[in-house]
Amino acid sequence: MEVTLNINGVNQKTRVEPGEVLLDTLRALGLKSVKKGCDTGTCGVCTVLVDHKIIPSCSYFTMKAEGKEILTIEGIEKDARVIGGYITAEGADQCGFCTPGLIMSIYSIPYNVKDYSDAAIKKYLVGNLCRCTGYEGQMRGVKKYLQEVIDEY
Amino acid sequence: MRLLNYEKPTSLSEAYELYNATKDSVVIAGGAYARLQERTISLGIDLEKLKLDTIDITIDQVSIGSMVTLRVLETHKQLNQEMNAVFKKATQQIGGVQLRNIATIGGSICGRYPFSDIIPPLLAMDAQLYFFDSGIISLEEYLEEPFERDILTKIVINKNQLCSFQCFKKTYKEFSVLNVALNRKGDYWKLVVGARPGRAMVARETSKYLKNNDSIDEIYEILRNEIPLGSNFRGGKKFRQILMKELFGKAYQEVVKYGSNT
Repeated sequence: MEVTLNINGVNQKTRVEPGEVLLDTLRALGLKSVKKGCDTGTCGVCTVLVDHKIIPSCSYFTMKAEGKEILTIEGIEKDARVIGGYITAEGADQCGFCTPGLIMSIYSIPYNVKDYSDAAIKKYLVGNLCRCTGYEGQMRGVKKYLQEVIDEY
Repeated sequence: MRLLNYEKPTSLSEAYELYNATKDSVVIAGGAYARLQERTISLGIDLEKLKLDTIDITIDQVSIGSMVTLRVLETHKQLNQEMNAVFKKATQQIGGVQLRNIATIGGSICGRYPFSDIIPPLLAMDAQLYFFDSGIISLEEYLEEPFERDILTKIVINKNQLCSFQCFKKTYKEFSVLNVALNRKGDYWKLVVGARPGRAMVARETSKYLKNNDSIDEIYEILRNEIPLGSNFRGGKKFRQILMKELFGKAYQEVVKYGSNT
């Protein structure tokens, strides 16, 4: 089926299978930051934003994304570098496979989390798994990012 | 799931006709679980253009469109303020935020998932389901009946109910090993136990006893004999029996607390 997708602010026409999921479509279009992990909507490495909401792109039919704004890490390069800097500064980035998905979720925190308490942040990020670490470093990085970049702004 | 075709009808009657004209078709709400099935389907009918994603709150009722996502149920301020946050409590541990942004209440009901966290409180609160063709049917009846090709449009619940939801999970966002919903409306009590691991059951006998009795131990004896529990990879029968007592006790305390607040 032919479909027009708005990806990172650019309209792109492409052909997809009727039951294709957004993860496969995005990767086929060269957006390789979007990773395939569990492929069942559990691990969060495939997280992208659709109409400003984080979604698991492995469990989201591409046909649903028609007429909506899709955002991947390629579309927020400046912010991603800043967030990534805070993560790596804490030594939290090991294999790096979960980082693009995690950064998309962190990027959306200011629009979705009212108070930046540990509990609220953890509840929001619970859908992003990391198999290398114990999340401590990520939490330090996220909190510093929110305090120094988001609150200051 | 392999789909051979994908349609987004713009009216309910069109969706209903498509669904019944193509025997080998499925209705797609959020699509989160649809794709996990390993079969080939000739047509997927996506309901997203039917404007079924609103919540209307009147003086005495709450009406939730079938396409409302679990994340909206979790974060809806007025809904949770007026219903003792039962929707927040019953949705906030279903997967991550990502999943809850796509999974819908309609999909959760029509999937009839035995592990569902949202079905027990809806059952306990006597939710009414509005179907396009067959009209209004209670959730309790719907879960007993065989599958019919109809389209769920909204879920309606009476307000002024005191419903507590309790669950036990091994990790924050895993499926419940057991869950319990206890509801009270005046003298009327209704207790539901889900993820037994079989599908959610209404504890009718126990609910009757709740009206005149406040000895948790005595009520639990009736509950233990009424609701069969089993074992699966999430937990054994004995473990579930211990959980049922604990969760029921917590739910009871919470409902009593809600009652003294009003």
